[in-house]
Amino acid sequence: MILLVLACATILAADPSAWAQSPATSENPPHLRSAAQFLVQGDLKHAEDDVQLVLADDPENYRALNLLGIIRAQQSRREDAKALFEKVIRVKPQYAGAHVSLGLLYYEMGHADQAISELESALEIEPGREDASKPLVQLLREQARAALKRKDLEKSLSYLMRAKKVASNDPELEYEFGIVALRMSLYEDARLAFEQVLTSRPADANSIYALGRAQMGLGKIPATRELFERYVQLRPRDPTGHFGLGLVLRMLEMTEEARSEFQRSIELQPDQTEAYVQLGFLDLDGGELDRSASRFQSALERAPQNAGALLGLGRIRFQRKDYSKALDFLLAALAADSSIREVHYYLGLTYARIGKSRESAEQMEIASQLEREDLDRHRIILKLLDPVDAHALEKANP
Amino acid sequence: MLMEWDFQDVNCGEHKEGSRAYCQSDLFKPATPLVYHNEGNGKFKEVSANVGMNKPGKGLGVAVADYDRDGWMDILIANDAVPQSLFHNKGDGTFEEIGMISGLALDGSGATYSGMGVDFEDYNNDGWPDVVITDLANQKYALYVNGGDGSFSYSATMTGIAGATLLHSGWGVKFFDFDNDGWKDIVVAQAHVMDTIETSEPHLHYREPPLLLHNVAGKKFVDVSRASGKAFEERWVGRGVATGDLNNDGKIDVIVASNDGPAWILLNETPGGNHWITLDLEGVKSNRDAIGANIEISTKGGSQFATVTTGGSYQSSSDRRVHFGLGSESTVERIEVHWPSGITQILTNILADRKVKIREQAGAPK
Repeated sequence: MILLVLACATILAADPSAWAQSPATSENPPHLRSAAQFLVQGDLKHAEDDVQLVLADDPENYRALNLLGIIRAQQSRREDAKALFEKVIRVKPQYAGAHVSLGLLYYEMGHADQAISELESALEIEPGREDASKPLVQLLREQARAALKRKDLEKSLSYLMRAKKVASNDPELEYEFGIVALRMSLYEDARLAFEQVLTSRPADANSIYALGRAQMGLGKIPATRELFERYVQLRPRDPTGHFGLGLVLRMLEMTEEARSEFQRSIELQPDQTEAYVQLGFLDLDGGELDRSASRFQSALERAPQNAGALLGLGRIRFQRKDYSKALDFLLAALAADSSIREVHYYLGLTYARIGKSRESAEQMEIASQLEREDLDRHRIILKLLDPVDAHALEKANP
Repeated sequence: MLMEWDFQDVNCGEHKEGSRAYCQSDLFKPATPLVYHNEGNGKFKEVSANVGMNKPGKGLGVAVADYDRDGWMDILIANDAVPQSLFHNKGDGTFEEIGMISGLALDGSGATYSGMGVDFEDYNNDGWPDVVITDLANQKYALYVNGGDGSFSYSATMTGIAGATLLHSGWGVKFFDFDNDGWKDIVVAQAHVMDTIETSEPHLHYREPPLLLHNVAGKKFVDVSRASGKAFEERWVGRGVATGDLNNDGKIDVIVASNDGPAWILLNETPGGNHWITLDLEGVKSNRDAIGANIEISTKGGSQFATVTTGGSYQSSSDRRVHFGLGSESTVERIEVHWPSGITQILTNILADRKVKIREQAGAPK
């Protein structure tokens, strides 16, 4: 019930003129202020005494009813509290305080969606109310995290978007939003979020790395390189940073520099797999087939079903025209991960070499389909829309 | 090619009313190539369906060579955003498209790219025509080595072409031996397709200088543009590239065509005393221009191969004469010409540093 009491205190602090300096009116008799003060001090008895005095004269006084509801909530008489708040809202729907009270009660009761609805209503009536905005943002973030745990990324993102509308300059919130957007491959939104964080926290290493990931997703490779280099300077002993930088350098065809970063990653974390796989592909691209095979074997010793390493060994065998062994490795890669386009492509080529044209065509078609799906994902409007706007767009473009 | 677009399509440029919008090429509907058969009576007939070439694509550059050395010219089409097409000539008046299974349709990771310019020549002097295809920035120009068994291997990274071209967009492209060392180099006309690219990607450029890649003994290509004269510092909206010995001095020159700009003539003034030979073929039983004739020359330094063609590149037509750089060799021990008619003609012990006219000999053995 602490939230409700804090709401009370906030009302007292935020708008003393309404309570103490404005002339006493039928809506705002002096006993209400003292009742609120008693409430903040935890003196429920005296608080209720003062409230009942007001209600004796004016049974429909909405402020008094609201305070009584808070008292009832403090007394763990939640249903009574709820009824009182709902009555106030019926009597005075534009009284934001009642929406706040009911919202906070719902929050305490674990009815998140109803709590969110009431708190948002309060803010529509009085946009500046911190007693509504702070718990609302907190609640939305909690719901976002819960959705993320359930792997419901869209829901998570939706909650965070609503929170951002209320707290537009909160770097923690922006960071959370950016991470979810990143996971959904909404790279432009992620980029904007992390850039926002970095305006207030320019040396935040996590945000620098995350922004790098977003830029990489947007294909801004030189920018990604700068960001990962910054990250590695801030956290030189983080193997992930060196690995990420290695990936970018490989994309930039800076082979030796990439190799150096992957090797550094391995020095810092010898029992990892992926850096070995990347080194394997660097060697494969450079025509160093024996060394490449050795790297992939190292990866498989750590992770026998690593699809990348199996693909690499398959490609080596293909290049050596050992199609039977190539097929073995590529089929193993497929079993480990059927979503890798390159596996299907090299399977298609291998089948073609051994005269299995139907199987070859099938694998080529799958590879093409995977590429089309990838392009479609990137073509989807990257700027996230409100559900309302998305619906409008769908109607306009059936 | 057909294209349907409107300002409401989010993938068409900035979609501002009244603003010219560039639409992504993968939104275009593909179209089949057109093949016009010379009927011999002053007329041509479109026969793409009859000859098996009615496979839709988004064709830009076209190049020809006999990639499998079976005596029949094959056709390679660079396609934009769809797999590249290799039409294998079956020798019976029809073609079959084998780009995918040959390994030439996609890049090394199995992805499509925006193929634009293309050339089809043996750059590593193993007797088998290889392929270079230009594309857009962030895609890396593609290089395929002909395995000699009907297959091609993507080799852009291993040969250094990928690193040299990652941030460039290429159009017209030609293999040519600019320094006469006996290895075919590469020249590319460059520019991005979008004149607003720098606003969204500051590290890419709309106007670009041409690119000159030096072939190092058939193993690697090295960007030597900066060391090759002021012309390679000029930024143009490059599109076509044609090569030929314009002033007949034994050094191959380059012409670059540009959008909304003049054609640029790059006169080759490469210093050095490397030898050369230029062959000017005239068909008698074969077509008069000898298009499709395959030539092999041998010197003490090794062998080189070429096809008589004016094609390749992008929207360009090059010197029909076939030029070979000979390095330090001053004599060509053997010239072997395989005419389209089936006739094979051999010349021996030809002195270098001259143009040699070779007329198809009717009496030469088939």
